[in-house]
Amino acid sequence: MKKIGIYFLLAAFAFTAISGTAESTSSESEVKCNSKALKKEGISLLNPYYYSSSKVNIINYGSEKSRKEIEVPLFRGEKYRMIFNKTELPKDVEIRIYDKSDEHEGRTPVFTSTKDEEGKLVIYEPKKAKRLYVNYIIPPAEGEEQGGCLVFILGYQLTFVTDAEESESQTEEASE
Amino acid sequence: MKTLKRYFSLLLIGGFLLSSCAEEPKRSDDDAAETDSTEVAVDESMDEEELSFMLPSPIQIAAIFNRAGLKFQSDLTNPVSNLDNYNTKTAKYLNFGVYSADLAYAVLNDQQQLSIDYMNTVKSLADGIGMPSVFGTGELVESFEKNIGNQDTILRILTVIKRRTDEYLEQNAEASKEAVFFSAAWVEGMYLGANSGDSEHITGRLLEQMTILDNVIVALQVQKDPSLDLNFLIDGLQDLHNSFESYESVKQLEQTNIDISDVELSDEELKDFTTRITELRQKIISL
Repeated sequence: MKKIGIYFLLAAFAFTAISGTAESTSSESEVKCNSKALKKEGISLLNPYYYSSSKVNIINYGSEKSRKEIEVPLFRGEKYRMIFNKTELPKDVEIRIYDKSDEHEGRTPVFTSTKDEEGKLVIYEPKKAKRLYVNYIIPPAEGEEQGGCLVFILGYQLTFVTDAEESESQTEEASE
Repeated sequence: MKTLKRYFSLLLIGGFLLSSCAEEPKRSDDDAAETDSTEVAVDESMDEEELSFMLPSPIQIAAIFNRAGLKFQSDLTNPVSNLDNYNTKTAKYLNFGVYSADLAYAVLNDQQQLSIDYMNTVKSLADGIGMPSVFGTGELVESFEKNIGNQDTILRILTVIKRRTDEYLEQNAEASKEAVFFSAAWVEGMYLGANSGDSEHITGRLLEQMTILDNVIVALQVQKDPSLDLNFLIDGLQDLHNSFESYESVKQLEQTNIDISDVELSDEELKDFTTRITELRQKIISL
């Protein structure tokens, strides 16, 4: 009976601990993100490129500067456009794109976003299609800033198609 | 191992920074911005919903093969009649990917009736999976049939399907399932390319695709849905990856600076590669 009592107490303690943790985690990681609208805004800048894929990253500003890296496979001879929607970030995140992963020493960026692009849509078209590594340089939090989301859209060009603009409008009319 | 190595490097960097902080004046914010990214803490979190890589569009892969000269062969695609066999969740998810690749293959080769048939098959599977919003109330299929002679419009419609699928998965916190669709579409595309009988033009583009295989495997490994049985697929892809890495022509890559798409596989290696991808594809369509 004594053992049952101990188990009950332990279970109650564990439950309290778990529910307490869950509550604090959810409040800490609560980030308002209207990814659908952000994607739509970014996709509107794709034409004449075709939508390939997208990535929504939740940006949590920590106590220190941090970084996220995304590997992007691009195929030889193809043309691409990258669009980054930073419009809903509470604090700017710098975008640096490298041709090597973070495991390579002395890598240099092939693209770096500028201060002027803070809170805007950033567009980058690689000159040469090869595997690239997109880095988000996340500054430390200030005050009560919790986070935001950054949407990355990748478009590719089908070079053998010629009547892209005309068909784009037809498709939108037909499908939206 | 890679992660451990990174943590170890971070510890070293962290230790170095802590020891040097005592001796050097604090950097200004501007200086910090110029700091090489290796000194910035790396967010190593990789879970089901946030992978650190992107997967390409299966439509683009089909287009790359097409442009390389891949000729249409009607007996290679997965017959529409197999649709009735796909009753499990795993079979539906994977063959949604297979049929999507076949749809792109048919469209790019101007096979109009076959394209319509595959469009309807993909729609049936999307509905069966629980993604009716991808095709809406049928306007996308109508538009597809109406514009069947206009390849560019048709390709745009395919990208609308891809975009809506991504959106559906994201809105339902299932973004990682894109990898399940993609892996099957990738296998189907590789199967079509490897069996085209035109190794001279296609092989380079097939080999280029092998550079994303390790990421495809990782994306499948992090799937947490117990109702999806993906072990056979992960094992098959891993097996393909390992054998590819063991080919003499591929091993020689390490000693040279040539691009993977310029590697010339021997007849034996190409035969082995084709057999492995064909067997794996057969397992998927026979589910």
